[in-house]
Amino acid sequence: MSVRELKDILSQFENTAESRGLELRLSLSEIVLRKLDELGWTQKRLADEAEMKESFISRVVHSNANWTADTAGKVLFALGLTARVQEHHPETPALRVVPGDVGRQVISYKREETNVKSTTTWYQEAASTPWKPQTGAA
Amino acid sequence: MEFVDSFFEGAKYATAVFISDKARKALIKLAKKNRQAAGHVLKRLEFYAGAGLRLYEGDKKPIRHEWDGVYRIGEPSSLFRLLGFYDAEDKTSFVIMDAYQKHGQSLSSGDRGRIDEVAKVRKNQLWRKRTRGSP
Repeated sequence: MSVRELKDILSQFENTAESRGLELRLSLSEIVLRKLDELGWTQKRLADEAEMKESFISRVVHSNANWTADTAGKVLFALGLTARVQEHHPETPALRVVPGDVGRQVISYKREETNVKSTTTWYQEAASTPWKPQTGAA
Repeated sequence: MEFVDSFFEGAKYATAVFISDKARKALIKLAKKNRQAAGHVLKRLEFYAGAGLRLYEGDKKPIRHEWDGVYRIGEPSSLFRLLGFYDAEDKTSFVIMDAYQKHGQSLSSGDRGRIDEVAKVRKNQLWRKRTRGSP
């Protein structure tokens, strides 16, 4: 008996649109939790700053909120963050992805027509820092 | 004695995750009933392992400490729950010992019994990482 069957289930799920949505939600949750830790804020404080209900922030943290881009924007703005989604190819990495780094690879998919794996990365930066693409392998 | 297998391990993961036969079977059972739900649980777990489980720990967070070093990882969409504990003090390794489908929001006596059982395995070190030659 091995874990291969579980990995197959995961792999099949990752090949669905639902998985991409979940990864975006998980990614926002990670960004929010890291920033809350850094600021020493509670979810209640964030809710107050963003003028949102605490229950919505809790759903964001649990990756359970089916947020719109605008509501995600309100949360990020309250935290002083910007986030961008950028497609890139792993063969020419746009960002070095390591635990604790400012960016995190969140989506991985295969382009059927080219058979090239592509990924999308959230960029997370301080709002005061002008955004610029990072190119080149790390 | 419970044997656990490496599930998510390596440079990609801030927390290595190991899984017991019991938890693995419960996840496969879930997948037979609802493959998407099982996919959600596994994707979430993999993501948490990548970022580090510690980030998600706490009151009002997805990973809750129950008692005696046992943590519960929740999946809101299906009420499926994973139970486990950290292998080391630095929290870089986590062992999932049990997994089950909850039937309500509050903690039932059955849920408590499962947590107690996992706590017993942890406290008495009744588990091993599976190696070549292990059953």
